[in-house]
Amino acid sequence: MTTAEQKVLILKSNISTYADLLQVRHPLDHHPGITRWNIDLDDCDHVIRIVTPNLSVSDIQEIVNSNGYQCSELE
Amino acid sequence: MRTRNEQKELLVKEKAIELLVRDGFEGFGMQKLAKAAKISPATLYIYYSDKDDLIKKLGVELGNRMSEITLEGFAGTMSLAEGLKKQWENRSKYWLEHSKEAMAYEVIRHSPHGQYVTSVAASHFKPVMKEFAHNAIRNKELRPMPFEVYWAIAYGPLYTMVKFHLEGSPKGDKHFAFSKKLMYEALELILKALKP
Repeated sequence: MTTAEQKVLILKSNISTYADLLQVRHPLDHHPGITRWNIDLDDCDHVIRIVTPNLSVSDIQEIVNSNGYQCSELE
Repeated sequence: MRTRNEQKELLVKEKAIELLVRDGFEGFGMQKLAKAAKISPATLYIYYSDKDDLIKKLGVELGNRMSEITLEGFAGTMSLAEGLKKQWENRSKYWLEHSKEAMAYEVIRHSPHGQYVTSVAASHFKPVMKEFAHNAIRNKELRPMPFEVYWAIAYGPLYTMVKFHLEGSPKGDKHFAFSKKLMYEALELILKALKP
């Protein structure tokens, strides 16, 4: 894996507690297109940070939405 | 795709140091930092995955710089008088010329990430200082004593004087100005105290 091909996606979300995080952990952990991810629960925007070679913001939204949460690109 | 920008990264570190000194670890936040550095929070999250990641990386960098400055021109094989003089010069230089960095590093060392940071940064620092003290004891220049006592006598007075210089002396109104002359005078007394 070359890190040069990796990009970072930054989204704000309503995943605000650890219990919320557990709801999306499995799909994010096991998605083949996600190299690394984390959610900053301390932050007021509950920032989702995704390291991926090929996924887009809308791909992440789809995963998060289908698990009952909202997110959008952080400007 | 967003890319890294070195200039921006430097500004972020500079602002992070300022915020840590002003607001402490608990008062520090990613949104606050983004605002201070005039960048979007999204850009900040490109560089660091979260607050903890930022504090750890910054702490290791500050720790390495502290050790680099402290060890400049110093060797564990130096005599006690020569080595301690170099240490006092280097340590006072670090605190006086890099005050903000030094204070931010103190904040991080006392944060929940302190242990991680001190174990990663400056890994070659402790062995050199240990070698120096052991040599001095072997050469009968230094009275054997517990490490904490040695450290308190050897460096405590220096840090106290630097603190008075930066924060004001216990006398209150009168400003205490640290100088090389005072430093060398105090060091002479310390060397006497440490002799076997």
